[in-house]
Amino acid sequence: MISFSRREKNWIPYLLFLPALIYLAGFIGYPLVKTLQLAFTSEEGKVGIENFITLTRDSTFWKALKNTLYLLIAIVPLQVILAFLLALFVNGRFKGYMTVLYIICIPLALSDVSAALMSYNIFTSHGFLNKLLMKFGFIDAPIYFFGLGLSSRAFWVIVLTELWRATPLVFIILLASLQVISKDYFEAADVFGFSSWQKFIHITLPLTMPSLQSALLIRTLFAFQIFAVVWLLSGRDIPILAGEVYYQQAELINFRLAATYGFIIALICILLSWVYLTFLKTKHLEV
Amino acid sequence: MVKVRLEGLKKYFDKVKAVNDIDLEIIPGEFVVLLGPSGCGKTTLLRCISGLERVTEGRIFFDNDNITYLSPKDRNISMVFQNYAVWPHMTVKNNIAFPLRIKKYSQHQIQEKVIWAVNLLGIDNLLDRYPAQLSGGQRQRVAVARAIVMEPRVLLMDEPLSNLDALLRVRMRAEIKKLQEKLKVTTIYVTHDQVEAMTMGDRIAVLEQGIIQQFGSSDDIYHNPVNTFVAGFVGSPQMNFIEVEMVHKNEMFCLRAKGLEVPIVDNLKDKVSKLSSKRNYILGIRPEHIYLTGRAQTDKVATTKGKVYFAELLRSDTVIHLEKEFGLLVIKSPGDLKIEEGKELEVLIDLSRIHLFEKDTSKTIF
Amino acid sequence: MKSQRIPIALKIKQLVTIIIVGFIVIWFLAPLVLITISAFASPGDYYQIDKVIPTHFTLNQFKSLFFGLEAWKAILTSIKVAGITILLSFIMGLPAGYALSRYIFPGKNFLKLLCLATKMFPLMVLAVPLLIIFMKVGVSDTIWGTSLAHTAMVLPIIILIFSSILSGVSVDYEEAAMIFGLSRIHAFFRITLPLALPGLAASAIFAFMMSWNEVFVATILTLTNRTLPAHILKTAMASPDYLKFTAGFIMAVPAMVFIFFVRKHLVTMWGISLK
Repeated sequence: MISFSRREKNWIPYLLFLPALIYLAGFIGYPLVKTLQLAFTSEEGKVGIENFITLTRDSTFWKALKNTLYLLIAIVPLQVILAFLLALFVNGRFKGYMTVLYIICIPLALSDVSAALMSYNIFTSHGFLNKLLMKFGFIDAPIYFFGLGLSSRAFWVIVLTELWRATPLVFIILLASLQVISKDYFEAADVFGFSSWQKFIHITLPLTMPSLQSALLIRTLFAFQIFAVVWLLSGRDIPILAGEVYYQQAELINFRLAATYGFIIALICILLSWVYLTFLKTKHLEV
Repeated sequence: MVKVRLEGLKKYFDKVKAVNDIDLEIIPGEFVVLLGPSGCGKTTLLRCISGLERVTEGRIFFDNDNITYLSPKDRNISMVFQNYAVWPHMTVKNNIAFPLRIKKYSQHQIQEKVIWAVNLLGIDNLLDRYPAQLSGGQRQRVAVARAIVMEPRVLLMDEPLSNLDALLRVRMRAEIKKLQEKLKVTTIYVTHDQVEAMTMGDRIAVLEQGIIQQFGSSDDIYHNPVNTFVAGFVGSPQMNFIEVEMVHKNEMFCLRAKGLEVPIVDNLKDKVSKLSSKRNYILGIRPEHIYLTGRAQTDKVATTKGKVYFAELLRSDTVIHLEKEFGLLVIKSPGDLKIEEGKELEVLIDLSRIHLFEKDTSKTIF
Repeated sequence: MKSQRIPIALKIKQLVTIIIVGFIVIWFLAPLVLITISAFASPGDYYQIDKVIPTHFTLNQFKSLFFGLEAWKAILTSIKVAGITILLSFIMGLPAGYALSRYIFPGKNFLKLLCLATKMFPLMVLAVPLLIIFMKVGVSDTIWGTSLAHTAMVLPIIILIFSSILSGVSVDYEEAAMIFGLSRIHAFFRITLPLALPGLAASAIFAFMMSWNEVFVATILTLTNRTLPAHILKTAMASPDYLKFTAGFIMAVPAMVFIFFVRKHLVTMWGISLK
């Protein structure tokens, strides 16, 4: 017979969570503190903002920041709109929509490395695009997208790749929220004679707004972490924040500056989340 | 057959007192119904008895064993859940055999007992089906078979009929009651349906706000409710509650509201003689104890008049809502009556079957 | 008249749907199909500028990738890392997810929020300090180092997914088992776990893919024991084009196979992991 006191019972959920909590503290919490420590100590071991001064004097930092923001602006809004349209379309539940859903989701499972290589396969000088255009006589010589001095072309290839790769991510968030909207709302709207457009504006949009916002945030946060696609398609021709972490760490073996870049990415992400969360709170009360 | 005793049982969720100091003694083999509206604590009480919920304070005894801190598996109980909880990944046979296997019965015994249980419930043709292939009623039977097959010391049922359609519910009501009489297992049955309670329970415990308001036979609960809550919760349509004042007139005690005067019959006189006339009281009259003229079987009646506001023609019965100065007076009369709305109607109140409650405490005076 | 109009409108709607579906399918599948073609195309055909669709196919690239560039070692490393990640995140995630799904306790919301926050956090930032820590402890450039980092990345998400999967298994089933003679732990293993199995299998696949695809942390943490994406990132830049395509194809294959198996859970799983 097992009898247990009440107090013991209250500890059970904490006990169950404890291993995970310790792990997260050790492998996320502690490294975080370590990042902070690295970012705020100079090479001579002085505590201060010396690393940040070094960083801001380096023009690459500003380029990296600028490029990251440009990518963000070029990708995110377009992606959210595309994903929303896709989600609305698939949510129409036409015959065979599950297959379409599955096809749209394939890029979700692909790594960014894979996606970058697929993109390279299409846009490289001997790639399908050039060969096709030449075959039909649109161009005489291949268009080069990658290489020195061509970073503005590479930029748009990167945007396209990210659109292809990560739109499903946003799509699935939005589809999930569309799917939970009760049919009753639409039927009620039908009864009251709403047009399709009115239904969209007055029912679909407000009800998916929280998901739309969180999709926007997630995509924005991810945009600061874009790495492999840019790195593989343009190397350091298009410097970006995450790429600089890698470069400082792996090529220059400068832990401090790498950590400082990392710290800045983290800081931006935290600030964005914070702004978003305070914004969301009021929104949730309305919904 | 086992006696169940609860002593000062309390269960708090944070500050919510779901079960608030309950004492209850159930005699061996008894069918006890816990009746109350949703949120009254009846299910929590049942879960405390089952061990699924840890009590905050108090003790639970099966016979003389204190089982308060035993885990459910060691209590030798079984339970029929509201949603049946028939395991979806097991066939009917395995569902019923599972408790026996855990208790390490021999293969032969298990076979025998399963056959016994399925025959008893008439589901012997469903043995190899999965729950997904069963109807709600069939699943219900599997749940009951599973609950009785291990011959528990106490059988617990948590609103087992609430998910069935009306016809099936009536049938299962009788079946479960007969089954319990046959097995003579001490049974605690939770419901919010007074019809289930009245028809099935040997005794009924009416709960509200975590407290047992009254514990007694259905006869007791119906005829001698201890307060306005019990009086109002049991009986359909609900008892008429009318705020009245007590007046002393020509050696007679009289209850008076606007447009109504109800004299108190002699045998109830002692109960009111000491009551202060300054305070307000609540008069309770069940709709079935108000008769249409010519239908009363007693002459101890009070007459009152009113306009018919609305008549529910159930054909087997007729429920009349009469407009009075104090509100609506509901009357239930057997038979298919031709009642016209808007017409003046005279009705007779059975004086020997009225109830009186204190207004402040809601407690019964008689 | 009206009865004739409706079918035409319907037909137009159908046509539009088909066109949109066609566009979606081409847009999302073309890169996959094309890299598959390129992966097998002979280098001669690839460098022939007027040959859009190659006609000669070969497995030579696979050979040189696997053995010349030692990709088989990287694949093995990737599988090991993913396996350890799944194991660790399941061992810690199951009890934690169970606690979130079955108990009400003070601090529960905080823990949930913690998981959400860590999930949102750019974990790549942790690669640098982790490397320093691992170098001190002596697990840098090992399978374990990468696995531990990947577990940190997967764990918060897996806890939330488990909590949702386990909430999907009605508590009643578990409680019924407890009434009928099982302890809570046994009830979990005999009743809840089998019922949650399809969802858990999908989560394992999900965890596998997260680890299989992760490149940044893996690249920074290792020099010799590289996972496949890290290996490709390091070597691809210096390899001829046709090898890049083969590498991209090899990376994509398990992803496509796995997503086929979890296709029923697509919306729930990613819905949870991204919300």
